[in-house]
Amino acid sequence: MNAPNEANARRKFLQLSGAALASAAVPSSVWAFSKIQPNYDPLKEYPYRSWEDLYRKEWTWDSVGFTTHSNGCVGGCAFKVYVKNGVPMREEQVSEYPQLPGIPDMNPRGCQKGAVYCSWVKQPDFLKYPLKRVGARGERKWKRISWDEALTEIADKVIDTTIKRGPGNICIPKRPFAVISNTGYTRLANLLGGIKPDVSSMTGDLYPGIQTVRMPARTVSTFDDWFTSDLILMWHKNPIVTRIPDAHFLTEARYNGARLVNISSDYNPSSVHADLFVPVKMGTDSHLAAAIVNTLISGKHYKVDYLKEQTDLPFLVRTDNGKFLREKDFKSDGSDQVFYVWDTKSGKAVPAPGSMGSKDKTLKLGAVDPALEGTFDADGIKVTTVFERLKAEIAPYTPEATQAETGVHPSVVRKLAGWIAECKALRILDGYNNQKHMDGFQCGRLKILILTLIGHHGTTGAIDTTYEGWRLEGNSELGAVKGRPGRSVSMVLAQWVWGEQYRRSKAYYDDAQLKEQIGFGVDDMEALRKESEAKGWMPKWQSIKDPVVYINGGINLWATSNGYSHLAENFLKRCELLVVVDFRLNSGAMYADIVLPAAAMEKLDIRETSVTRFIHAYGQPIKPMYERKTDWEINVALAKKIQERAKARGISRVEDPEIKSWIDFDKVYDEFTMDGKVVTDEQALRFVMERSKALGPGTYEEAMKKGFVAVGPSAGKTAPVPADKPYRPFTVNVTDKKPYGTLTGRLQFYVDHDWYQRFGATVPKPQVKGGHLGPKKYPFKTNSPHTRWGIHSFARNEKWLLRHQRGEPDVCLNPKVMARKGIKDGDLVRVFNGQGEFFAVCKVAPSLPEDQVFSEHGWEQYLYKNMTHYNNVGAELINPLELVGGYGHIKYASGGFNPNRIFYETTVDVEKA
Amino acid sequence: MRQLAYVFDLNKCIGCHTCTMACKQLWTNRDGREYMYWNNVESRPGKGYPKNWEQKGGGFRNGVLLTDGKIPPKEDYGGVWEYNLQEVLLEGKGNQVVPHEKPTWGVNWDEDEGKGEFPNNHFFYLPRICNHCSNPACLAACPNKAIYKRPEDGLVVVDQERCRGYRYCVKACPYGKVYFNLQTGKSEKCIGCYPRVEKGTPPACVAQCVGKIRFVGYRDDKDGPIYKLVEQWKVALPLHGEYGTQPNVFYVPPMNVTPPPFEEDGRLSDKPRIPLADIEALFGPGTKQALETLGREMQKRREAKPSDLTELLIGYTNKDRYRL
Repeated sequence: MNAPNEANARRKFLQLSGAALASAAVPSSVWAFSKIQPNYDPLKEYPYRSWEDLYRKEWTWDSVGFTTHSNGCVGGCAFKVYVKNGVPMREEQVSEYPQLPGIPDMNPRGCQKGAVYCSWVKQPDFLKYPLKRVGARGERKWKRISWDEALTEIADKVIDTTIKRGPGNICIPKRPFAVISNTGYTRLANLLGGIKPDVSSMTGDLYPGIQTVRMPARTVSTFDDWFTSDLILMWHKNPIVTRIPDAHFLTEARYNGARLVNISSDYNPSSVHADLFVPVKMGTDSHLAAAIVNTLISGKHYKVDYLKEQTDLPFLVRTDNGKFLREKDFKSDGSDQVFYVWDTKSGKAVPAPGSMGSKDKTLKLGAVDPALEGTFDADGIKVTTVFERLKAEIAPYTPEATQAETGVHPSVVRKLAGWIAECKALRILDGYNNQKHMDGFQCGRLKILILTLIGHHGTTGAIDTTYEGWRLEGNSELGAVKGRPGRSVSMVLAQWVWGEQYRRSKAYYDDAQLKEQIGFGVDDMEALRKESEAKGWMPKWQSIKDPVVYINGGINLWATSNGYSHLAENFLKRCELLVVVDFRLNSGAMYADIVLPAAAMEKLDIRETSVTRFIHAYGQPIKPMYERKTDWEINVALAKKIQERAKARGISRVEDPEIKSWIDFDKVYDEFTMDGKVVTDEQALRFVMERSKALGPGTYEEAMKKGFVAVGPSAGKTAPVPADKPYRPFTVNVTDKKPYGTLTGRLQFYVDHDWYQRFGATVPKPQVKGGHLGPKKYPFKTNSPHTRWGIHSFARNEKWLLRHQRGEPDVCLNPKVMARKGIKDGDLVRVFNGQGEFFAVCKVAPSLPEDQVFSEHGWEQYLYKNMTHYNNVGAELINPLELVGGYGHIKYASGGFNPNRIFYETTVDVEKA
Repeated sequence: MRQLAYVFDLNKCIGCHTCTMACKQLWTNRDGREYMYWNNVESRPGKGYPKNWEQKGGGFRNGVLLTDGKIPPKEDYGGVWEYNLQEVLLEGKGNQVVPHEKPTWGVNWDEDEGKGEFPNNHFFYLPRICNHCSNPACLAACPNKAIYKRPEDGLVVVDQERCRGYRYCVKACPYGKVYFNLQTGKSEKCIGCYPRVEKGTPPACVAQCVGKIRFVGYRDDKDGPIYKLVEQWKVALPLHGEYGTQPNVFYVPPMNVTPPPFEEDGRLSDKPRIPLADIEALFGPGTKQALETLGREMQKRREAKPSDLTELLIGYTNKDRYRL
């Protein structure tokens, strides 16, 4: 490409300007003072064109590098960064991804946030130097300090805290969304015996309901696979807004014959290109899903052979106690992980292969033909099938019966169910917003059941939850330290305890109402949490440790929670040193004791999201500016300082018997860097890439040369990545009869755990009756979904993007509500309940039903009047079904199974401020 | 003269504004151009950018240049807000990061508002650039003949040396797509990214469009998507053709019947969601036929029959969408 250096370009421009003056300026100025018309027709010709170099010169640059902007985003997009005079000027997508046969290609990927990134990183909130607090916490008075001062203070505090309070009072949450940036914190936390919170459930991004059905719950096709579908349900997901780089696959699929259905409580932008909009009342989707399941079953629209082999629906359940029939029911030393089906050929109960306890690691049924329906006598034990149980429990949820709950007319449900029954390739885009409702757990199980009944899971269709990331063995190796597991916790439970959420929720919710709707109240939730911890189902660190030293990598501490100010206040009481590492001063960092400046654009890393078959490069288009360091460099520097201080103070090993581990303070750097093998970003990144089977030698160079590199077949966690078509998960379970990672080895729809029986949730069916759980005295439900204008808080304060909004945080209301409340568009309003308040300007939204106060999330606290925040009004709930463990695959897993953040069971009122 | 032209498929536009930011970063984030959006995306029905541009006047009637056009006041272009991030976050001054003036209008102020009552409301996205008209009102209005069509590509440009800042062009453009630069005292507008086009690279708003809605090529290229969509299939129509400027940006109009609205009792209605007349008001009398053609061809695909039109609109690769 044409890239003249700056000095030459300037000289050239001066010469051209001189020439232009000589030739063009004279005649035009002569004309300006006379009445002589120049003699040409500008529709056809123009004599003075040398000025055109003016704009040509603006499209020049000194160098081009690569980056991606995946902070908080699962997109993954290759961008070129154009650098002039050492400053990143603008970005443009690489747009060179190869095409798969018959599938539209991915060119170009990206969004407006990426396109404007060069502007954003120049804003003054982007950090330049380490800062130390000199005022009160939150006062935002800082002193610039050196890296050495900052690291020394942190290192000493880490050592002191561990010695005085015992190991495990150092908490290191992180979410920098790039491989080595992220894994650096994991490695350090493991070496220090630190607490490692699950940040996925913290933000409400887990799918524990679906995790009970398949392992892992969180997986997707590469998004080009959308093009192969003929029916696409956008459900709790607004992809036109939140999946901008891939949304074209939806409109292209539609041109290719697919129907698009948007199931949403509001007429969101994904409705615009839909063939059917289903306006379900907020939080009642489980009832709609149940009605669809009901319609499919009663119309016999299910694929019997598929269900017999791939699911637990033919598994036998005892009618006396509702438990699976197990081998131990027949012999005292029998396995409790071997299950039975009724073989119609031999007329007896036979063990099903493929379960956790089975020796046969296959789904192949051989000569056995399992009964899907019926009741049987198995050597004196009366049994029936899971399918029978499901049919009986789902029978009441007809389209007619559910209308009162969902607001959806039965004819609309039947039309949709009809489309589902006749389609050849169903895709359900299951958004994060599902499990942010109490009933999202059961709704998730129902959604995957819909796909499974028609036999599309792992065959022609998929339910896309969220990316799990490609399998990179080198990354696992980089994070893990032998014998040093660290302390994984559920961040929802940690914030529940450290943030005193129980007390707050108890004061807010109407316990009688909760008991009526879900059968348990806030006191029960607290008791069940303690029981779960006591039984060892959920980690207990939050109950016995404090976040005395809190080292936070790239997260706003309070924003991804409920009760922003309440949480902050209580949390900070337990925290003696709050360190925030980030590339900008976010509103969580306002409360920090030390702020460390991370490099935003200037880093060397990769992004591994599995929504495309490509790994994307942070190619360090410029070196770190000011005193910024990359996240990996910061972790290395901190490890080095800890080791240095420990040696100087004569401190070496501290035993950590709680986790059967230890901390070698005087070797932290040596261990962190594997004795000098992974000191630099490039070393760490090469370590990851070269040791991962799906990448390997040469891929580092390729990624840095092109901005992206394709993964090999082994990258897929549940199926190989094919070379010539989109990746689709779980296909090998169907083609190769490979058991799923569940207790039964099947897509599992029956859970006979005591607690599931206790809460009436053995099969997928609605858990909540009577709609929303917020106290009825407040008339509006809060809805704060993802926004087009940010990725969480990423880019939320970027000025060009703000200029495309209202310039300040807004809250949307239906126009009829505004009229009733005497609120005009642009008025400042106060949103409030017994728990808190926030202020924002009102924006009129005809797309909303009348029962919602809608404020897209990610706004920084400092943008609100009185430093309020939209999460100030939110209140926390825990679903006990997500506290369960000790049941095969249903057990605590960071990023897999633990209580997901429930954001949307809060009600409020609103008034003109 | 060759004429470069564009087709924007509104059934693919997702309203993400990546086009706008691409243009902004390349051309208008500096030097008096900050308030200008050579490319903008507006929610329709809506007031657009600049505010109420359809009422600003200009264009031609019966071939005669109208002189009633107005120069939109600065506030109709929306605020260019700056923020006190440095003071509040790093110096501990004040308790709120706020724009330097109270926002009252912006380039995308009425985003996603549209019209109608939930659940039967509607809106869609309309991206707009200079139409690089074959009969540009701005060109006709310039007393200085400083606006011309480049013979090699028909792009309409304002000579930044010759322009005297009279602003007749700003008044004359009925689309509100010529701007006045207060710093330089010249009129400026979308240049069709001619420095890129000259090198065979599509304009930034086209190349960076992630909805893949934008097709670009020459009108006389009978093998290209522009000719096929505009002349052959007649599914791409000019915006407000009645303004008489002969635009070279064509739009595939939004399908108006889906998703179906609801009757009072919650059943699906057989009325269209967007009244046809509202779409015709934008894209003229060819709208009905264009929508029928689209509907027919899409139905073919639902029945697994081939359709050349939908293949064309899918535009699988950059090569299929860009012919320069």
